[in-house]
Amino acid sequence: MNKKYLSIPVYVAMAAVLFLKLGVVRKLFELSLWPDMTFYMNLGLQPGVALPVFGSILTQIGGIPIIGIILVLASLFALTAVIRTLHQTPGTALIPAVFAFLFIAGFDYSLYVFRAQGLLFSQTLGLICAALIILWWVRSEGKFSEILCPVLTALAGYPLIGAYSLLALLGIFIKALSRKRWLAALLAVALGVLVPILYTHFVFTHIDTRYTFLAGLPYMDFVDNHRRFIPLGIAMASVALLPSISFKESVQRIMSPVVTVLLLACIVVLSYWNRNYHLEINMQHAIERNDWDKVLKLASKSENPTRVIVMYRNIALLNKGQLCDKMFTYPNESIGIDTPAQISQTEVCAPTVFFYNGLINYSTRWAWEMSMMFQRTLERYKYQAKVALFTGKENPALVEKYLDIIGRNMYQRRWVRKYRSYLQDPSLLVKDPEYIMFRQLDRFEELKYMSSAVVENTINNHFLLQEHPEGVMLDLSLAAAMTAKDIEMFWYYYDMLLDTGRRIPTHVGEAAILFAYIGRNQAEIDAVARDLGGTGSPIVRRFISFSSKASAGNTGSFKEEFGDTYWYYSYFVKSITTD
Amino acid sequence: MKKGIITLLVLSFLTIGCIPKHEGVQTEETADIFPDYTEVVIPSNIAPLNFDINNEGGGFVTTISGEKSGELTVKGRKVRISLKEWKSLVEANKGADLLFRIDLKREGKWIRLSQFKCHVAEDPIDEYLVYRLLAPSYEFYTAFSIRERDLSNGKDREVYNNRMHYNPKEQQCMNCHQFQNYRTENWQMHVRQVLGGTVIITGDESRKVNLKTDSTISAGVYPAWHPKEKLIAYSVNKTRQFFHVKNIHKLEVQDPASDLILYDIDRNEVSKIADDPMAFETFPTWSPDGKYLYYSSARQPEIATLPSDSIAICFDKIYYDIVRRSFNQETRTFGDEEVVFDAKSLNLSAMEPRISPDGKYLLFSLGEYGTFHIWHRGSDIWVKDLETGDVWPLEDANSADADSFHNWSSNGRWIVFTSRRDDGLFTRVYFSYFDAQGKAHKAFMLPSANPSGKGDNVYSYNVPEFTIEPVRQSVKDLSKIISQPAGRANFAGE
Repeated sequence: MNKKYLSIPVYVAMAAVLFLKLGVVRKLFELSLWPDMTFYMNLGLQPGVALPVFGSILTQIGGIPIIGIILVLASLFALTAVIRTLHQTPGTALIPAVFAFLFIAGFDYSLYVFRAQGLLFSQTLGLICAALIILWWVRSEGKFSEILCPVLTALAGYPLIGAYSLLALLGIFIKALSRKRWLAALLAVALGVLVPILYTHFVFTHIDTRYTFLAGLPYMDFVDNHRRFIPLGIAMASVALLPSISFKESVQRIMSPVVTVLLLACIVVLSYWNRNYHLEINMQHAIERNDWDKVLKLASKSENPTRVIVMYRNIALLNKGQLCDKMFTYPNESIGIDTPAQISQTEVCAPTVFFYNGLINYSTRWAWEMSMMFQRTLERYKYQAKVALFTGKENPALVEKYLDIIGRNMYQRRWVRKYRSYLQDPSLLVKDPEYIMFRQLDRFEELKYMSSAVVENTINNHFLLQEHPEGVMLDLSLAAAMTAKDIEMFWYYYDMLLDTGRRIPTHVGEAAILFAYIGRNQAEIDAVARDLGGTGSPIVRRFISFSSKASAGNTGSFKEEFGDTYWYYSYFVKSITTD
Repeated sequence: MKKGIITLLVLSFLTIGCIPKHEGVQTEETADIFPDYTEVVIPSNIAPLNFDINNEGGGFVTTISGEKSGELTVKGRKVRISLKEWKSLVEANKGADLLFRIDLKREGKWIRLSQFKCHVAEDPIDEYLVYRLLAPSYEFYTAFSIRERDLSNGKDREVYNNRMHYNPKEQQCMNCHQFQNYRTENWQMHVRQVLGGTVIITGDESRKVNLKTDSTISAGVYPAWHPKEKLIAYSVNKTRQFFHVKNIHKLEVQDPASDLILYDIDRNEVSKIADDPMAFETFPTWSPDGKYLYYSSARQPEIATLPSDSIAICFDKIYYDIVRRSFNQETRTFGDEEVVFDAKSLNLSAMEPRISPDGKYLLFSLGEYGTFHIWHRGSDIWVKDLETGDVWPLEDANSADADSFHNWSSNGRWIVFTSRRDDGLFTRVYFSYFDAQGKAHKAFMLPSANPSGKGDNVYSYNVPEFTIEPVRQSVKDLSKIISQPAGRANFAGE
């Protein structure tokens, strides 16, 4: 293959990965806001401030995933182009861009807990700046600017691009050594060590000096998940080293295709592919668009769903009026999320799950907690705005404040117009499907004390504490009693259900006959059987089959035969644990 | 030709440099500005009152004229006033009014809004305000700071921020900065969690101390520097929060147990002031002569006989009174508790007593129940005349939303407090002039360079404390003190 075209399969592969991760790309854009200048002005101007600021701006421009993907690829292409002018081997020149890409494609659940802003672009921008500085030095060799370049890099570069200016100085140092430009090498190393120390001593006096040499890097996110940063480390090392490495033509000819193939393999293997993670992100997006069929379709793609997926699925079932008919037709194990990052399932889904279960104070609480612990995001502000609007008791100025922040993103103007119209004309709000459901879920008395630390427990406890639930609240209370296997509360809600004259949902019928059977009360069994339409009803007939097999100890094929029943959940699923 | 061009350029330059006068047609329309600085009383040494105009229109021109003399003009919807011009205008109009005229262009015609005024009081405000800046979160936080605002010119600087000792696995909180007699020679602040302890600065000396002893229920919480001695009274509190599921207040902060202690700085010794197990004593403050210690105190509700969990159930039945104890500086002993304001009998709760520098007035916040009134929308600031016993709310200063955490200026003429009046969530600092007749005037927001009421400022300002001089330590100085291990305080009699 002509070496000119070596980069094409690599870019095609990167584009393909991004398209497969379209949901993640969308999520990354929704995790960002226009740079919050008050954050920088009020809470500390840090060295390297230009990177998160410009990273955030680019993230806003790429609000539509396709445009976002093009922008990501363009930034990586720019990095390769600069490196290519410094390093002649086409295959190896791709290393910085590929590993910068892998840094992004390797984002796992930790994206929910990023503290650094504009991370999708900020580090690639830093790498491009470092490479450009090295290129400037290479081109100014033998001139006055050979000295000016490292001086300016240290003095102006450190405040703007932080550690990437030091990376550029390292690159200059290595290159100068290889060319025996001893003065430039000495200057680069001296400036690289001294200038950051002087800056933090005299200018950036409010930053933690332990991070002097890491400024501009997402060091606040280096928590228990260091392997996530290995690709970024490789990208940085390659930017510093590649300009000083050259291969003979014969070596290049072999090396380029070999390295390209290896990089292609890296792109496929080292990207983060956890199925549940991608499903959760897409399900959340579908929930927020009230596309309940899509939520259920996505849920069906996981054989071992996390509790987050189960909770998202239950929201969809609730909105389709099928919660107590179908919630146990799905695997209900206590599968956790696959990440070494310090993040709980509550942190992944709390604002969404609380909101769609009607506990909107807890939704807004978690949206704020996550914003404070990590960063403010478009997504979190949207929950704040909706909650402030739905309660009807909040100050309209607060809703306006949130809408103003969200509306700064050009792709969110329609969303903002919709909710601003609700604020101006409350008769439009009462027709909003989410608001209609919220009004049904809001029919409860204030509970005086309840922890909201773990989302699933909180929701189950909330619905189990209801004394007079009606409508969807009754469905949720029955669902909570069945999930918790709380027989006493189940009968309490079951009697209420009978009083309404409503149809008995499948799982409720299954639970009723099971609990009557466990109680060894023939009169109760008969009564339930009557409620379900007599002994000929499908639930009763199936239960007879289930109980006879259970009595005979013949449980081998239970999952295949009864995996879609409450009985299977009741017998074989141990108590659910979420975090 | 050349001359003509030069003349044209000079004329253009001069024209650009001046703001044309617009005599708009007078209308009845009132000015809708943020922050609301209409009809307020301001100190003569305050920074420019920048504001944004929300009335519909374009080509805004704001003219501010002094009743005695002087005038300045600002063009644009965002009224940003030059510090130098403002200072000379306000200085020249001490004891007189500043008149604000806004002309705007609407449908091609200039109109003039109804004029409003500010009165410039003769009494200056203390030059510095030290406050905490953070987002309105509940339990978790990453970045916030204690800051100092020079009220005379609006300059703001960081005193300390919690990223100086960043630890990704554990948060660091700092709170309750407090100064002795408005000076920064002796002051204190708490650091919680990472490198926790109480930082106490006395002149050139500093220490970090752990005030928790085996005989007290917690480390020091709400502080009160004795005005004359190196003594600090603290409440010690077992504090917890719970979150309402649907209550508009959202959050409840409670103290299932709280007592008062006295910390003797020289002796590094803690002693008890009040530790009735059936009472919750909190928010201490000294009278300016140091002879009385005022504080808030509530009795355990009868339905909650002891287990502290039940306090959560009856959170809205806990009513704090304002009480006081005499203090003998010689013997360092306290007298019996006497009620100063009986809020319980009104089924209300009075918090955060603050005595005016002349010792005449008691300022407190009054809410429906409980402590931490910033989370109670009905909370207002009240005052009691300690000579006549009269009690009244600061009607012109209070708002429909939470008003709380107040302090007196050193001359007793200005009250600073925090309020959620603007949007119900983000706490802002407000000032009110308290005149010689005991009337608090309409409150105005802390001036700032860019006072946008919209998305720009999503932080809350709390614990505003006046000082008459800047904090003497830098962020790095404090960081160094905080990085030291905390020494243990001794318990008196141990």
